[in-house]
Amino acid sequence: MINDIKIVEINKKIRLHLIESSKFKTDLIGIYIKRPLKESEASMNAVLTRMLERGTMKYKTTKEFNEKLDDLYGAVLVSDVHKYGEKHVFQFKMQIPDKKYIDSENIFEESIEMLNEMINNPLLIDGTFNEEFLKQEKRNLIQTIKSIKDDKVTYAIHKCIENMCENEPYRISQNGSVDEVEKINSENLYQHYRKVLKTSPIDICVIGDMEFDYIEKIIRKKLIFERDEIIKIDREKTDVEVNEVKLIEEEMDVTQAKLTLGYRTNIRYEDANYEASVLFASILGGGASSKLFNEIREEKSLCYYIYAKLEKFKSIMLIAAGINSKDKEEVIELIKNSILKIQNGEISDEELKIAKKSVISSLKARSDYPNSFINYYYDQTLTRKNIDIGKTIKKYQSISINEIVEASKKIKLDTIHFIKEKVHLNEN
Amino acid sequence: MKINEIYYEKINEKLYVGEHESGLKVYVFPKKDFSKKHAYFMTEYGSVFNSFIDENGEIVKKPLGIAHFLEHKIFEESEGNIFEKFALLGANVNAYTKFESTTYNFSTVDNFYKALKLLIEFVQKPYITEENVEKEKGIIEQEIKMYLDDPDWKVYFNALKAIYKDNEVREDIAGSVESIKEITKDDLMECYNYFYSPANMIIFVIGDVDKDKVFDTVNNSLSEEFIGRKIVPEVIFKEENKNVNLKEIHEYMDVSQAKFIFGFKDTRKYSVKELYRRSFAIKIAIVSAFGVSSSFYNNAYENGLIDESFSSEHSFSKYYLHTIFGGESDYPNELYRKVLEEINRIKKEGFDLESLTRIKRKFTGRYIASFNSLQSIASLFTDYYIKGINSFEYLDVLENISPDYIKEVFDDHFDTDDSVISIIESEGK
Repeated sequence: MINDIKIVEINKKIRLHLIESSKFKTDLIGIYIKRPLKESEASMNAVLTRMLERGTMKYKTTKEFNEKLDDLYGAVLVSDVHKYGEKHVFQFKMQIPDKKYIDSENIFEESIEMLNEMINNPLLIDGTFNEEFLKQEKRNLIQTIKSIKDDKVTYAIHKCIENMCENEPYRISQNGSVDEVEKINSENLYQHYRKVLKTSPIDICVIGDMEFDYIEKIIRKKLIFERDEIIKIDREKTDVEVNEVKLIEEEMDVTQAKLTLGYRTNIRYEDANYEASVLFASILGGGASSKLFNEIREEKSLCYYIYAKLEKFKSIMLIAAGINSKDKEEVIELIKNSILKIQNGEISDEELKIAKKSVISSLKARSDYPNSFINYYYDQTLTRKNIDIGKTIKKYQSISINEIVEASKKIKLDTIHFIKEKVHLNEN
Repeated sequence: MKINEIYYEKINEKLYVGEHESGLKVYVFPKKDFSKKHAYFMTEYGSVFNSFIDENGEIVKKPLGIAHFLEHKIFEESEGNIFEKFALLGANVNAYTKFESTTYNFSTVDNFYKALKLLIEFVQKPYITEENVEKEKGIIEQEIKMYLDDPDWKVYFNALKAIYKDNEVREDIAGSVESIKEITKDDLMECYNYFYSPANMIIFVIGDVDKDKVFDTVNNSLSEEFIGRKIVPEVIFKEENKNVNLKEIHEYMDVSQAKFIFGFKDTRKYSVKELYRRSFAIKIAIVSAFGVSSSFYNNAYENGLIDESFSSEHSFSKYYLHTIFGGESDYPNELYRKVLEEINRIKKEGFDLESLTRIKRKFTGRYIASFNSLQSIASLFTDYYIKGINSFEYLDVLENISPDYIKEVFDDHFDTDDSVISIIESEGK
C-alpha cells in the first residue's frame, strides 16, 4: 500500500519523487539518470557504473568503500545501467534498514552522503580516473560482454534482437561492445562523465516510512549536482516495414536447440489499443495457462519452456522456446497456428479472464516490493502514463475480446533465429 | 486444531502455529498492507530420498529423479487443468523440488481462501495414469537438457560429485534422461502414499490474512483419505566417507572464461542446535575473510584473479554440510592455491576482530531487510524448517556467536588437505 506521493523539482530537470509506505522495514533511494542509447556512449556508461563503485575521495580504496557499506548495516548499493527501449538509464540504488529497527539515528543521512560521495565525488588522481582501476574494469566489462554466450537461453534472445534491429539503436546491448570498451581511456571517460552529470535529466525516488520534509531537507543539503543545458532524448522508432522474414541459423555446442521469433507489434504505448496488445501477449504466451504452453508443451511434449514477451518501448514481441532440433518446423507451425487462432477470434471467456487477472494482480502487487515499485513508477514517468495504478487497472478491465483480436492482427513476423547443436563428425 | 501464538520482539512480528490431529502443522505469518498473499504446502521428501524401508520391512530403491517427477505429476487432474483453475482465481501456482523437500505454492491478490483450498485439495489428490506418465518424460527430458547447457549449473553439480561419493546430493535433482525412463506409475503412487502424509508435511501462509480463516480453510480441505495416511517410511542414507571423493574435476564446455568452484565438507553429525551455531559461525567467517570488504578479495580483484562473480556459500542440513567458493577466473588454479593459503594464514594469525563486528552488523541489517519480501521470509522459513530450525530466532543466535567461537569453528571446518576444485573451461584454453 502506497500512502502518499509528492513530486518536487529540486534543480533544473532534477525531480524528487517522495513515496510514503509504512509497511517496509527499509528505506530505498533510487537515482535515475537518463541518456540516449548510442554506440558511442553505451560502453562508457557501463564502465562508469563499475568505476564509481571502486572508491571515492573520502573512501579511497574499494575495501574502505565496502567497509562503510557494512557499517551502514549491510546497506545494499547497486550501480548499473539499463536499456529502456532506446534510452540508456543509469540506476543508483541504496537500501538501508529503517532506523526504527536498528540502533542508528542518522542512517538515512549517512546513506545520502555515501551516495553523493559515489556519484559526485568519485576517486580521481590528477583530475582524472585511476588508470589501474580503469584497466581492471575494462577487462571485466569485456569479459561480461563475452559471457553472454555462456547462458544460451539469454544469448538466443540477444542474438534475435541484434539481427532483427540491425539498423536501429535497439540492437545495442546494455554494455555496448568490446570494440567500444577498448576505445575508452581515463580522459575521454571523465569528460563524458562530467557531461552526463551536467546535461542529463535526473529523477530521484525515495520510498520508505519517513516524513517528506525530512527527506527533502536532507536531499537538498547533501545531494548536489552541477547543472548545464539539459539534453533532449528522442522517442524510439517503432514503424519498421517488414518485407521479408529474416531467417538466421547458428550452430553451437548445445544439448538443447533454442528457437526465438521476433515480431513487430505495430502498437505504441501511447496508442489506445496498447493495453489490448499486452493482453494478447499474455493469452498467447504469458504462463502456464497460455495457448503456447498448452498447445506445444502440454499437448505435444515438445518443450519445457515457451513464452511470449512484449517490449513496451520498442513495440516488439519475442517468443522463445528450448526444443529438439528436429522439431523446429513443427514448433514454428504450431506457434503460427496459435497466433492465427487468436486472430480468428478463438479466445474463450476463461482465457480473457485469466489474462486480465494476471496483468491486474501483478499491477496490484507492484507496491509489495520497494524496488519494483520505484522501477514501475519511473517507467510510467518515462511514458507519461498514468501513475495511478487504480486507473490503469480500470482500463484493463474494460478491454473486450474484439479489441484483443484487432491488436493481434497488427503483428508482423520479422525474424526467426535458431541455435542448433553442432554436429560432431568423427565421433561414435 | 491447537493454536499457539509466538511474538518476536526484535523484528516486531507474530507467528501462529496450528497443529492438526493428523500431525500436519500449519504456520500463519500475518503481514498487514501487503497485496499478495502466499501459501506453501511442503513435504519433507526430496531428490535424496531414493531408498527407504517400506511398511513390510523391505528395502525399496527408486530411480533417480522420482521426487521431481512426482512434483510434475501432482499437477495432473482427472478433469480440467489445475493451472487454469488457479489462473481463474487470479493466482499463480508453482512447485519446486529440492534435495530434501518438495513444495507447492501459489500467490494471489484476490480469492486467497479459495485458492488455499484448491492448493490443499490438488496436492492431496493426484491423477496419475500410465499414459500421462509417458507424456511427462518428453517434458522432463527437455528440462534436464536445458540445465545441461548451463555451465554454472554444471560446475556446481560437478563439484558436488567431487565432494561426495555416496551422498545423493551429488545427483541431479531431476535425475537423468536414462533414469526417468524407468519410472512407472506404480513407483510414483508408492512414493506419493508414503511421503505425502500429514505428519510429513507443513503449510506456511504469509500475507494480509485472517489467521482463523486460514486454520478453518485448512480444516475443511483435508480429506479423510489424506488424514488416514499414517506411515512415513524410514529413509536410508549411505554412510559418507570422511574425505572428499575426488580432489579435482574438470570438464570442457563452450564458455568465455573458466568457471570454478572450490569445496570443503564435514561429515560429522551434530545436534540441530550445534549445527545452526556452527553454520552461522562459518557464514560470518567466510564473509569476513573472503567477502567484498576483505583484504583477500580486494587484492585478488586488483590482481585480476577474480571479478565480482567471486562468492562463497555455506550449505548445511541433517544430511550434508559443505562450504563452496565460486566464480569465474582466467587463473582458477592459482586462485585456489591463494584461497588455501589465506585459510592457513587465518588459522595461524586469527581474524580481524573489527571485521567480524562489521559483518555481524551487516547480517543484522540484511536480515531485517529480508522482511520486505514475503517470498524471502517464506523460503527462509521453509528451508530452515527442514533443517529443524526456526528462522525467526536468527537474530538471537547471531548475537551469541563470539569471535573465539568463529575462530574455533573455522579452524576445525577448513581442511586444506582435503578440498575440491571443479573447473569448466573452453577446450584449447
